[in-house]
Amino acid sequence: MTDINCESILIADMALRDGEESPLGRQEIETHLRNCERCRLEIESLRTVDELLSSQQRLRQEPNIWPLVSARLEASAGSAPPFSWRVVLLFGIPLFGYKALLLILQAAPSLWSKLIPMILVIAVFGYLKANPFKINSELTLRGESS
Amino acid sequence: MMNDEQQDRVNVVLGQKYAYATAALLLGIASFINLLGMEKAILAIIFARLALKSDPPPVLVKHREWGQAGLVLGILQVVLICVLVIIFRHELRGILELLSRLQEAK
Repeated sequence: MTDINCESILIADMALRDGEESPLGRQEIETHLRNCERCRLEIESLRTVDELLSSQQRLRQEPNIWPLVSARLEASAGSAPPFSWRVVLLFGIPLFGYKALLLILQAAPSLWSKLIPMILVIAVFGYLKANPFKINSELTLRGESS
Repeated sequence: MMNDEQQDRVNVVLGQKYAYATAALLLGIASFINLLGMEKAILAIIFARLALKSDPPPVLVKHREWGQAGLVLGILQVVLICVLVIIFRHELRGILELLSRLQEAK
């Protein structure tokens, strides 16, 4: 068996599988394959690749995407984000800690005892880099910007 | 003629100003009411409830933590005041009696 023969066998097999005319018949190809292991392996790997490619399907574009968009909108509108303790603790610990301290020490009311909570709150807003009195025009109506 | 984005921005700013106006009015009214300091906490609970509820959509995402913090702090304050009133009820009664005597003495 020569390389040229093997090559012509491979081409003939490929042509037959593609439904095209082949210079060699199925019988001749089968006879050759029985005696040539190299061609057998080659054809087997070609068939595997062919089957793999045939099993793939072209991605079909759905022209009407509204049902998907609508479902996602409903999901996002209905589900609230989980509870976050971060801001609660940032304000709660200083304010209630201070209040508890005043109660424990039974401190007499004074100007400073009233001003300290305000200073604490301003400090927390400063830490958060947030101004509670600012009107934010950057928010959008369709979902909120981050 | 405004485009959609500009109109959205106007609506957002108006919405926030509307919220501030409502808060200003209710806090102004609350400043005339004294419920042992609970009046502000009650307002915080009401405002937080309005901010956090999911109906009508959309759900608040940005600053949701602020609403949650307001709700928890308001509830804690109401609970704390109620507990303190129960614990110091005798002292409070004494203070009220002293105040009424002071009023009569005038």
